[in-house]
Amino acid sequence: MTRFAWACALVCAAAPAAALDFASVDAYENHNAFLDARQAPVLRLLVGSHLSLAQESARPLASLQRLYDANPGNLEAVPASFLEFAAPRAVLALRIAAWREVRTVALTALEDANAAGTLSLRHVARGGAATAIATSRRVVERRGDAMLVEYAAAPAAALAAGTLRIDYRAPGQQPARLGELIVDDIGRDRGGKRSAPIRTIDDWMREDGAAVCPRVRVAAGKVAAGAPSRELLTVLLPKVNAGYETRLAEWKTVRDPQRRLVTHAFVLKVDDTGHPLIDYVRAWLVVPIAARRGLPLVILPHQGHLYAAQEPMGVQGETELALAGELALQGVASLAYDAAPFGTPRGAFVSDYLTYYPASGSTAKDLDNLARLLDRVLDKRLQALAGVKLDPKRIGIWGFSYGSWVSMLYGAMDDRISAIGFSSFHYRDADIVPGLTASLYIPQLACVADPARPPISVRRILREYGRDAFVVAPDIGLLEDWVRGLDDARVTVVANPFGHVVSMQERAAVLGFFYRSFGVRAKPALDGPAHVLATKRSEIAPYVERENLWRTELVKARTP
Amino acid sequence: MRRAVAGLVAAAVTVAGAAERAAGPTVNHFAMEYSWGSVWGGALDAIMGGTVRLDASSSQPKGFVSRLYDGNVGSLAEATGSFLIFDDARAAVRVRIPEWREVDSVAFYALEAAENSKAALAMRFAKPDAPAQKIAFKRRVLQRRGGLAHVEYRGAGAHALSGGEVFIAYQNPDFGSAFVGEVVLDGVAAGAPWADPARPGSRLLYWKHWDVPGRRGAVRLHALITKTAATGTKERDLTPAWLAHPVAAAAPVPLVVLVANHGTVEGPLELLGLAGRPEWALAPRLAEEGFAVLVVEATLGPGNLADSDAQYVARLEATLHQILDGAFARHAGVAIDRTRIGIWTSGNTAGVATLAESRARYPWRNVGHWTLTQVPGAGELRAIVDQLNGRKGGR
Repeated sequence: MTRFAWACALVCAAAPAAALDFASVDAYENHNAFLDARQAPVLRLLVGSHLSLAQESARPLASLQRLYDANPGNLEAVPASFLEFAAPRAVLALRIAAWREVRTVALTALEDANAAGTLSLRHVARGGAATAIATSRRVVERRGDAMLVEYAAAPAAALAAGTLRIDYRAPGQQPARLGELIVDDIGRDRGGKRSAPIRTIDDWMREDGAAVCPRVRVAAGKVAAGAPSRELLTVLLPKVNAGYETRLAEWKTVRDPQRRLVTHAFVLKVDDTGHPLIDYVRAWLVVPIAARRGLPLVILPHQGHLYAAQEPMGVQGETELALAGELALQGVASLAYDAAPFGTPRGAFVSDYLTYYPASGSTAKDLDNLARLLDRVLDKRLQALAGVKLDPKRIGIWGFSYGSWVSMLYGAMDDRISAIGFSSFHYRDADIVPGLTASLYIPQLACVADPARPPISVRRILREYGRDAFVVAPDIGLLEDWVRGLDDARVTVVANPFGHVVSMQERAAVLGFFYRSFGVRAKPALDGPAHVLATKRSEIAPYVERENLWRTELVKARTP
Repeated sequence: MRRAVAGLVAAAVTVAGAAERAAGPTVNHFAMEYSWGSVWGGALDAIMGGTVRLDASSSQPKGFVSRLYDGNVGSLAEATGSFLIFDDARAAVRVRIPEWREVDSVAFYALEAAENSKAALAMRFAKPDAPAQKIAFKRRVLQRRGGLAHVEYRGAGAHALSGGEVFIAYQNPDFGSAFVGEVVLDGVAAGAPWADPARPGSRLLYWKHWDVPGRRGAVRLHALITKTAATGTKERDLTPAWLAHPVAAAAPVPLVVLVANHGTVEGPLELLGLAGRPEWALAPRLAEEGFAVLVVEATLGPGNLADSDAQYVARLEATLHQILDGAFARHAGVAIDRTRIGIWTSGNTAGVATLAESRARYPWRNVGHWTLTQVPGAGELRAIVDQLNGRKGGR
C-alpha cells in the first residue's frame, strides 16, 4: 500500500459513513460555522464536510479547503488561490445526502490558454446506477497565457442521494490546478451591495427615506382605518426576496439519550446575496426521543443579544429561557433558530443587511426567515427526514424581549400559529415608532409616524388575535394599557412584578399555557420561588413598596 | 380576559431537579470567547449554568439567576447594577456539585450595611443519602463606601465537596432586600489560589462526554475545562481540552498529545475534525488506531496573554495531571499507559515538545512535527503510530 493510499484509506470516499466523526455528536456545528460571518467557514460545513478525495486522484499539494474557500481563483495570486495537484488528474467525490437538493455544480480551474482540460461528472446513486452529467466550459478571465475557466453543469433534476464523482484532467502533462467547487451557487458573491453603511435611522432617512417613504405612505394610505393590523404590517414588513426558493443546505441529527430528546440541526438557504448572515438561517428542531406522531410545536425565537441563539435549547445563557428540553419531555417539539439582527460575535448584521435591502429593516428579514422556516418544518419531506409528524393545528410561539417582538408580530401575521405567547415587550404603543426605528428593526415606521395613531398597537393586536394568547407585561402600566377594551377569554395578560426578566414562576406559567392550549396532560414544574403574576395594580403594590423601601434605604446608606 | 393567575400559581408543581444542560463538544471552546457582561461570563455560564438555582424559600431576584455566576462579585460604585437585588431580605441558592467535581472552596459576595449589619448567612453541603454538613465560613469586608460594605463570606474547612448540593441561605434586612454579588466555587474568576495546597495541579470544572461510533468500535470523546492556574485572568486560569479514547480497550492505551499551531484560532478543533481542514483531523484517526488522544487549547491572545512555550507546557502538564491523577482519572476510568506518552506538534509549537521533554514531568516521546504548509499524508501518520507503538525510538 502506498503512503498516499494508506492515508486515503482513512480519509477518502471509500467508506465515509463508517469513519469516526466527532462532528456527528455536535449539534451546534451549524451555529459555529457562522461565527465569523464569512463565507469560508460556512462553505466548510455546507460543501467541505461532504467532499473527499477519490483514490485515483493525484495528491494535492495543499489543503482541500482551497476548493471551498469562497475564492474561485485569482490570476494575480495563483499559488495562494488555486489548489495544485501533483499530476494532471484530480478526482473528487461529493457525497449527496438524501436531503440534499443539488441542482447546479461548477468547478473552476487554472488552464493554459493553448489547451483545454476536461471535466467528467458522474452521478452514482445509492443503488449503484451511474449517470454521466454534461458540462459546459467557459473562460471567466484571461491574463496572458493563463485562463480562469469554469466548468458548469445543471442537471435536469436535483441529484438523488449518492455520490457525485468529479474527474478533472488538466491539459497535457500540466498539474491540475483547481480553484473552487461551487455547489448550488453556494458561496458565489453576487455583489450588488452599496458602499455606505447605514448605522442610524437618520442615516437611513437621509440615504433611503426619500425613495422608500413615498411608496410606503402610498401603500399604507390604501389600508383602511379600521383594517386589521395585519394589512399595515404587510406593508411595513414586506416579503424579502419573494422569488427565491428556500433550500435545505445542511442537516444533521444528534441524539441525546440522557435528556431523552433528538436535536435536528439544519441550515436553510433563504437568499442569494452572497452574505452568509443574510443568505442562511440556522435552526434546531428538538423532538422527543420516543413520541413521534401528532406532535405540537412551539417556536422559540431568541432574545435580543448575539449569544442567545442557542438559549432556548439550554446550551448557553439563561436557564429560565431554556424551554426546549422540558417541552420535549412532555411530548412537544420546539424550533429554535438564529435571529438575524444580532449578527454573530464576530460579525455585524444590521448595517450590512440594509446595504442589500434598503427598503426594509431587519424585522422584515427575521419574519421572512421565520415564515420560510415554518414552511419547511411543516413540509412532509422535512418531517420524514426527522422521523416525526407534527400537528399543524397545534403550533405555538413564545419569546422574551426581542423574541417577544417577533412572537407578537408573527402571531398577528400567520394564522398557522394557534397559541401565541410573549414576555417583556416593553414599548407602549406611542413608543413603538421611536424605539423600533432607532434600532433599525423597522426603519419604514418612520415614514408613517403619527403620534395620534400609532401604526403598530399591541392593544389592537391583542384584540385581533382571536386565538389562545398568553402575554406577560413587564410593568402594570403596560398591562392596563393593553387590556383596556379587551374582551376575549382566550387572551390572558399578566404582569411580572420584577420587570424585564423571566422568573421560574413565569416560565412555569408559559409552559402551562402551551400545555393547556395543546391539550397536553402535564403540569409544569416550578423550580424556584413562587410569586404572583399580577392582573391588577393592587397585586403589584407590595412589590412596589419593597422596591421603594430598598431604594430609600440605599440612598440613606449612601448619604454621608 | 382570563383572571386565573392565582390558579396558575397554584397549579404549578414544585418539582425540583435541575435539568442537565445541553452540550456539544465545541461548547467548552466557544464559551471561552463569549462574554455576558464580563470577560468570565461565557466560561462561567458553561461551568455553572444549570447547576445553580433558587430555593423555593428564596425571594425572587429582579434579574436572571445567571447574574450569580457572571464573574462580577459586585461593586459599591455601582451597587444597583452589579448586585442581584432580591424582592425581600431572603436569598436562598442551591448549587449542585456533580460527582466528578471536587470543590474546595465556596464564597458568597453581598452588599451590606457598613455598620450594625443584621445580615445572616448559613452554608451547608448535603449528599443525597447523608446528613447535611455545615460549612463554616469567614466574613470579610472587602470595601466600605459611606454606609455600604462589600462583604465576602468564604467557606473554610470545606474539602473536596462532590456529588451533592451546597445550600446557601442568606438573610439581610439591612436595606429591606438582599443584594447578592456572586457565588464563587474554587476561586474561579476571583483569582483565589488553590484552597487546599495539598492538592495542587488542577481542578476539573466542566466535563461532558459522548460515545462516537467508529469502524473499530466506539470512541469516547470528553470535553473538559480545567482550572490550571489561579491568577484571576480567565485566559490564564481556564484550559479547555479534549480527550478521546477507545471505549473497549483491553489494556492501558498509549496517549498522544496533539499540539495545534498557536495562532490558528480554531486549531485545536481542526485536530479533532470539528472545524476546518479535514486533513488535519488527526485525533479521530489516532483514536481509531487504538490510542488515547489529548488536545489542549492554548491562549492565543490578545497581546501578552498569548501562551509562551513555558506557559503552554505548564497548562499541558496541569491538564495531564487531571487526566492521569485528578478527579477526571478517578471518575472516567480511562486506562492510560503512563510509559507511552507521545507529543506531536505543528506549526510554531516545536519548542513545546522540546521543553516538555526537558522538564521530564512525564515520559514524553516526541512523535513528530508538521509544518503548516505540509499536507499530512500517510507517512507522517504512520510514523506517529509506529513511535507510539514502540516500533521506532523517539527523536
